[in-house]
Amino acid sequence: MSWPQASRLLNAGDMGGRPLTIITTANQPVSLLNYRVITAAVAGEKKFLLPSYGQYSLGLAIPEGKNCFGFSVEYGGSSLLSQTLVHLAYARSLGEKLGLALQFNYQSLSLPGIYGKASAIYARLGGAIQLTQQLKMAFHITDPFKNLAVKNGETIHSGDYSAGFGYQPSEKMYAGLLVKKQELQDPQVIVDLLYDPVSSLRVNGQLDLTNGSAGIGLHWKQKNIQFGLMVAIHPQLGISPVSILQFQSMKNKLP
Amino acid sequence: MRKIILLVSAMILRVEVFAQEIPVNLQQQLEDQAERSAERLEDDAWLQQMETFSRHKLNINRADADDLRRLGILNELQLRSFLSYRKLLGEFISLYELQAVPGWDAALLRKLFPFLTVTTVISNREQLFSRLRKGDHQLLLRSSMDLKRSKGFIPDSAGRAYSGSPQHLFFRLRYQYNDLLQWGISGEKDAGEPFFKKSNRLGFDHYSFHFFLRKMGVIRSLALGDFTVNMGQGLIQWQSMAFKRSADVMNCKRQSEIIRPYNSSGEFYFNRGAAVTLNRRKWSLTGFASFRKLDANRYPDSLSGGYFVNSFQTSGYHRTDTENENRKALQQFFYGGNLTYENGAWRSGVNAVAYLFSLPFKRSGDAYDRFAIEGKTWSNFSMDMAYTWKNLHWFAEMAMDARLNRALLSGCLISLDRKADLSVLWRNISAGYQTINGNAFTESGFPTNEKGIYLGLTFRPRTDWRIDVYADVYSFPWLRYRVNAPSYGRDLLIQVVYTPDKLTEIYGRSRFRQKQMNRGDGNYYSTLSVPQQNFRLHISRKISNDITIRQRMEYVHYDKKGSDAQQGFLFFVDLLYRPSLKPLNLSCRWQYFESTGYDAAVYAYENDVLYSFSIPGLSGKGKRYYVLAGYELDRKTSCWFRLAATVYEGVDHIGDSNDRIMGNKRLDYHFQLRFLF
Repeated sequence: MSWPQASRLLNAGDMGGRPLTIITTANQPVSLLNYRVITAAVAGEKKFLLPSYGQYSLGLAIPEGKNCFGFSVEYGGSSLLSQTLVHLAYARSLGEKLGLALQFNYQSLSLPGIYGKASAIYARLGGAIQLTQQLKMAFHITDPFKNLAVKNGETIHSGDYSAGFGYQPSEKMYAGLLVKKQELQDPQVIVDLLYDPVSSLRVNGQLDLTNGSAGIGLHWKQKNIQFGLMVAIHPQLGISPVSILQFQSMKNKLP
Repeated sequence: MRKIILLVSAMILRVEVFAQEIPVNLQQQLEDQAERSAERLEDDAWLQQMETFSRHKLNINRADADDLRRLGILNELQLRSFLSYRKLLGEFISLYELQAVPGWDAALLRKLFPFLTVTTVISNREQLFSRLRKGDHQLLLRSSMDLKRSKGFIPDSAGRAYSGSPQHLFFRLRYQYNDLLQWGISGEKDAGEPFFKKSNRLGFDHYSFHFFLRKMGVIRSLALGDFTVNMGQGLIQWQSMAFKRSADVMNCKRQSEIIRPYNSSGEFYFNRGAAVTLNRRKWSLTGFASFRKLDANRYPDSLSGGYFVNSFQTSGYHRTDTENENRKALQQFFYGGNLTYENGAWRSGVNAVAYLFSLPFKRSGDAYDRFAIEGKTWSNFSMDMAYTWKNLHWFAEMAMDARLNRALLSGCLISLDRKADLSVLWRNISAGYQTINGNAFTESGFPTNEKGIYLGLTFRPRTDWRIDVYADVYSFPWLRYRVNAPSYGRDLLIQVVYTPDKLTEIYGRSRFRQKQMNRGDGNYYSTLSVPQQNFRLHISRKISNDITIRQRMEYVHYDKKGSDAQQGFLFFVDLLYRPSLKPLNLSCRWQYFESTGYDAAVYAYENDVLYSFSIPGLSGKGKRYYVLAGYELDRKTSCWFRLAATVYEGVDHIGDSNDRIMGNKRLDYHFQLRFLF
C-alpha cells in the first residue's frame, strides 16, 4: 500500500538540519531536533492540478530542552480515493554530534467499491550525525526490528530507507543530497538548495535526479509567521502547486 | 605518575588487541574477494600476523623490508621510500617523524601506528633456546552453529543424513616469540562432520601442526609441518591471502615472504612438509617439499581400469558418504625452490615448482576445458624481478608451464607527484598456460587464458580528500566455463574519500563491470555483454571516545540483456562501542537488503570474533542483525560472543539442497575463548 508521490518539495533541507517547514518532519522526524520553539504549520497541495487530488497537512513541533515532540496529520484525495496519515514523533539530542528520533505512524488508504479500506501502523527510526561544523548527515529506516504493518502474513506498507547529507557553507545557504529507497522500487536521488537573499525571504529549489521532477519555492517571513508558495513540475504528470503557512511561538530565526 | 601512564597505555594496548579492527581498505578488499568467489575465506594467517604486530610492535629502526612487507599495508614504493629515508637520515626518534617520509601521508600513518614503535629493541640474534622459552602461549577455542537445522541434518527416506553434529568446532594452541619463532597445533570440525566417531575417530576432521623460525643465522625462515609458498607475482604459486582489483588501486603487486606459516582452519590451500630459506649477503635460496593427501573428484577409468581425477575438492567438507568417498583420494608430492638476488633497488629471482600425483588428471570433453592439466605430473617455472628507480617501481614475472605455455605479467608503481600515484599492470597469459596453485592479479581465479591492462590512479588534491580510480580492460582468447566464445570485459571504479578529521570518514563509489557470457535463450554459440553497476555511500563517524556509528547504502544493477534485469540494495547502520579503559566491547548492526537475483546479491563486511570475519552474500529481501560482544575476563582470558539473524520476507525456506532451512529465519552464533599463558 503506498500513496503516489508527485512532488518531493516537502523534504527540502531535512538532511542538513535546516528543514523548510515543520510539515517536512512527517518523513524525516530527526529534523525535529532543529526546532527550538513551538512551531505549527498548515499546507495544501493540488497534485497535478487535478480537482480530486488535493493533499492537506498539519504539523506541530513542541521542543523541550534536548527533546522535541512532533505531531502531524495528512489527508489526501477525495471520496473516490483517499489517504490519511498520522505521525507521532519523539526526537532527542544526544550531545553535539548525535541525535535520534522515533516515530509511530498510522496510515489508512481508502478506495471504496474496488479495494475497500486498509490501514497500517509502522515505526520509523532516524539518526542525525554532525560530521563537521558545516556538514551533517541523517538517515531514516522503517520498522527496524519487526515489520509492524503485516496482516495475515502480507505486508500492507512498504518500508523506506533514506540517507543523505546537508551542507551549510553559510547562514544564508544550504545544499542537500538525499538518497531514498522504497522497498521494491528504484532508489531516488534528490538534491536541493535553500538560499536566503534577505533575512525575510527564502528561495528553495529541488531536483529529483531519477525521474527529472523539479520544484521551486518562495517563502516570506514576517515576524513569527512564514508563508510559502512552491511549484513542483513532473515531466509526465505536470504541475503541483503547494502553499504553506507556518507559525512560531516567538520571534526567532528561521530554523 | 609514570606508573599510571604506563598502566593506562598498557590497558589501551590490551583493548586494541582485544577488539581487532581491520582497516577500511582491507574490509573493502575482502568484500570484493567475497563477491568474486563463493569459497569461504578461511586463511586467517594475516589476521594473526596483524594481531602479533599489535602486541609486539615493529621497531621502525630495526625492521627490514620483509618485516614491513608482512604488515601488508605498504606498497613497494612506500617501503623503498622509507628504507631510503632511514638510510639517509639515520634512526628515527619518534613515530611522528614518519610524516616526513616521502609518499607517506596522514591516512597511511593512521593505519600503521597501531603496529609500529621506536622504543622496543629486539635482537635478531637471540638463541633458539631463549626463543623457545620466552614467548607466549595462546589457546583459542571456537564454536559456532546455525541454530536452525538444515535439510542435511534431517534423515531422508533412506535414513541418510550428515554424520555429525551441527556445531563447527575449532581449537588452536600457538606459541609465539615475537615474530621470530612460532609453533602451533590446530584442529577443526565443520558442521555436520563427526567428532570422535565414524570417520573421525581421532576427534577433529582436520589437524594442523606448524613450526616456524625466522632470522636465525643464515636461516631467514624455516618451516616444518604446514606452510604456504608464495612466489613472484603469483603466476606459478601463491597460497596465502592475496587480493585482486579493489579500491586500494595501488595494491596490484603481490608481496610476501616465500614461505609463511600456516595454522588456519582451511583444509586445502597449504603444504605439509618442510621448507627453508637461507640467506647469505645478497642471495637467498629457498627449497621446500610437501606430501599431502587431497580431496579430489575421482572417477573410474574404463580404459586403464584404474581411476582418474578431474578436479580438486577444496571445501574441506566430510559430512556425507559422497564427500567421504573423495576424501584423501589423491596423493600429492610437491617440491620446488627459489633463488633470489637482492641488491637494494634491484631484486630478481628464479622459481620452480613441481607436482607428482598418485592418479592422473583427465580433462573433460568440453571445449573450454581443452587446455586443462592432464597426467600425473605438473611443473611451472618462472623468473621474477623488480627494480626501484627514484619514484618508480617496476616489477614483472615471466612464467612457463610443463607444456611450455607462457605467461607474462609486468607492472609499475609510480609516484607522479606528492598528490598523485599511478599503477599500471599488464598481463598476457596464453590460453594453454596452467597452474595448480597460481593466483595472480588477474580477472580469472587462476592465471590462464587472459590478456589485459590495468591502470590505477590515486589523487589527493587536499589532505582531507582522496580520489581512487581504476580501469581494467581484459580479454579471454579462449572459451571459459559458461562462455562459449572468446570474450572480453572491463571494470571501472571511482571512489571519492573525504576524511575531514581523524574521527570521520565518508566515501562514495561507483563501479562499472561488463563481462560477456552465454545468451540465456538457448543460443549457446554467441555471447552477450552483461553490465553490472554498483553505487555505494559509506559514512563512519566516531561520535565520542567510545562510540562509532557507521552507515552504508549500496545499490547494484545487473542487466543481462534479453533476460530480466536484477537489482540489489543494501542499507545498514552499525553501532560500535569500544571504551578504552573497560574490558568490554560491543558491535551491532541493523541491515536491510533487497536483491532480485543472485547476480545482484549484496555483500558487506561484518565484524566477528577475534581472527574471524563474515561477509555473507545476501539475495532476496529481508533484514539482518548481529550483535558481537567481547569481554576480557582478566589479563589472560578473553571471550567473544556473536549472534546473527537474517529474516527473509515472502519465503518459506532458505537455501537449497542439503543447506535448505525451512522457514524464513536463519540464526547463528559464534563463541570464542582465548587464554594467554
